Formats: sequence, C-alpha cells, structure tokens
Amino acid sequence: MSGENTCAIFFSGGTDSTCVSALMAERFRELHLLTFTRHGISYAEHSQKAAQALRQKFPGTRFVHKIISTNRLFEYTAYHDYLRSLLRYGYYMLSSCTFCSLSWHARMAAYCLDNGITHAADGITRELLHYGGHMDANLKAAREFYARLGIEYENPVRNWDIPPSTQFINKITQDYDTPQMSDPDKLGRTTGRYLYEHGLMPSPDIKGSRLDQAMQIRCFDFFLYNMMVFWLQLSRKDYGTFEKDMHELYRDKLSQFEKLLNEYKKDGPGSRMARLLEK
Amino acid sequence: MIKVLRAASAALICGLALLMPYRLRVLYGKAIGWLLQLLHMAFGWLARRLLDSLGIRSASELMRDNGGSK
Repeated sequence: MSGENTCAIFFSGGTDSTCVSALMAERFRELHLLTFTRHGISYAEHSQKAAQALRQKFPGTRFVHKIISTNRLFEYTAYHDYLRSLLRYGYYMLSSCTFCSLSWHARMAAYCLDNGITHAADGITRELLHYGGHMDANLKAAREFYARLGIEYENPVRNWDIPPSTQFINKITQDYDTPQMSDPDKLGRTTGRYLYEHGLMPSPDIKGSRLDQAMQIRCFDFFLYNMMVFWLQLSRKDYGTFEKDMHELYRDKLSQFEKLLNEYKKDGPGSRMARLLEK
Repeated sequence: MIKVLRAASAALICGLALLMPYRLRVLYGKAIGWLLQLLHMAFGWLARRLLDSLGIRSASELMRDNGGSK
C-alpha cells in the first residue's frame, strides 16, 4: 500500500482518537493505529475494542493496530543531560505529560519513516491546555518538526467542542479558571456526538464514564504534573508566562529528537535513535 | 493562605520527585494520586453510610433502576 494512501494515528482508544480514526477512514485506505505505552500507563490493550469497532464500521479500510512501548524514549526525554536540564528548567522537569507527548512524536516520526507513511494525525482537542503537547505554539512546532521530516501532521478535531470533565480528581487538582471547557448547554459538534451519530458509541457523551475508562489507556502520571502546574507554577506566575516556559522546554526537546531522527534516517540501525526505539 | 500552603506542599512533594529515577518517580506519582483519590473515596463511603442510615437511595442507584446510561 502506497504511503500516500496511509495515515498513522495516535490511538488511545478513547473518543477523540477513535473519532479521528473514523474521519481519516474516509480519506485513507489504510490506517495505522498506534497505541503508545510506558510505565505509568495501564490498560493499553483496552484500545483493541475501539480498533475492532472501527474495522467493523469501515470494512473497506485496512486497520493496522500496534501497541508500542516508549519507555526508553520517555526516559531519554525526561532524564537525558538531566543536571543541565534541571538547572535550566527546574520543576518543569516533572512535565511527564509533556515528555510523553514528545516521546510519542519521536516514536510516531520513526514509525512513519520506517513504513514510508507521509500522514499522521491525532485527536487533540482544546481540552487539558495546560499539557505542553496541547498548547497551540507547541502543536505548531510539532507540525513544523514533522514537515521537515516529510510528514504531514494534523489535528482534525482540534477546534471541536468538548464536554466538561466529570472526573473528581481533575476538579481537585486542576484550576478551571483557565478557559478549557465549552458551555455544556451550548455543545455542538463533539467527538462523542460524531461517534454516536455514526453508530460507534451508545451515547453522545461518555467522557468520564465507566465505558470511557474501559475502552482506552489510563495514565496515572498526571497527578504530580497537575500539582506542579496548578499548585506551584501558576501560584507564582501568570498563564502566559507558564505557556512561554513550556514552549521553550518543548522546542528544546523537540530539536534534540529532530537531530536524532536525522541521524536515524542516515545511519539506520547504527544510530542513537535506533537504540531508543522499542517494538 | 491556602494558596501558600498548596504551593509549599507542592514544592516539597515535587522537589522529592525531581530526585527520583524514572520508575520510582512513576510509583511515587501513583501513590500521591492514590492518596488524593482516598479523600474522594472516603467522602463517598461516608455519604453511603449516611444515606443508608436515613433509608435514602443514592442518585446513581435511582438512575440505574430507571435505565440511566452512566
């Protein structure tokens, strides 16, 4: 199958990534659903349910679903040249959610290069904007990173409406003064509604429900990150400054990966990047 | 005052995490999360006890019986 007819998707098995997969199934004949996992992330196998549902809904599209470990990449992102990074970024070195995003981009890029795939997409919305990987400036940096590697990266549901979170733990560790949630009375197009209307979900809003939890990976690494962001950083600086700091960190780490990936393109199995890649 | 206490406790908890290697940091973060969830679970347990003692059924039980989805 030609790379032009193929798209790779960051696939957690949740409503957002499943919705993007459904959207991409109408444009591409082959979709590679990549579920990344590492220490701190559980239930990666839950994503198989949504993958199977997509296969049944779109019989004309070939779905390749892979669960890939990113432990080495994550550890590299979080700990490489640690002392220098700690002195420069301080508490931001606990940005596990941001480091996860970066390690996944690196792994996605390597996968696309290995398989001749020139399109990648994910289900990032305007939820959780305090995550480095969800910020506008960092998404732009990521798109440019992919473009320089010859890959088009898109976020098709970025500006869709999002229902408010029902998670208690988010309410006590996150500050909802930051503008994140759509007005629940005015919700229009959401990923959940799209899936419901296309027969892929039993109801239009399952976020936070047991069903939602049972169909995707679960991460418990965000507690420390949220504490660092909301209780520490945002207690002493405004949101704009926090975003700028996060962007500096993100760009720094992304440029390191770009160097490694260019080496990987040239030297293949003998490169530093090859040693960080797991199946 | 609450903000100052939160910032101070976050500085300490996060400061310790910065000294930890990868796997230990993940376990530590899980432990923190578990402790925070404990408050939520304790509240739920107390609420159930109070409702039971008053003979009142909870909203989720009523929803389930009426065919609620969540």
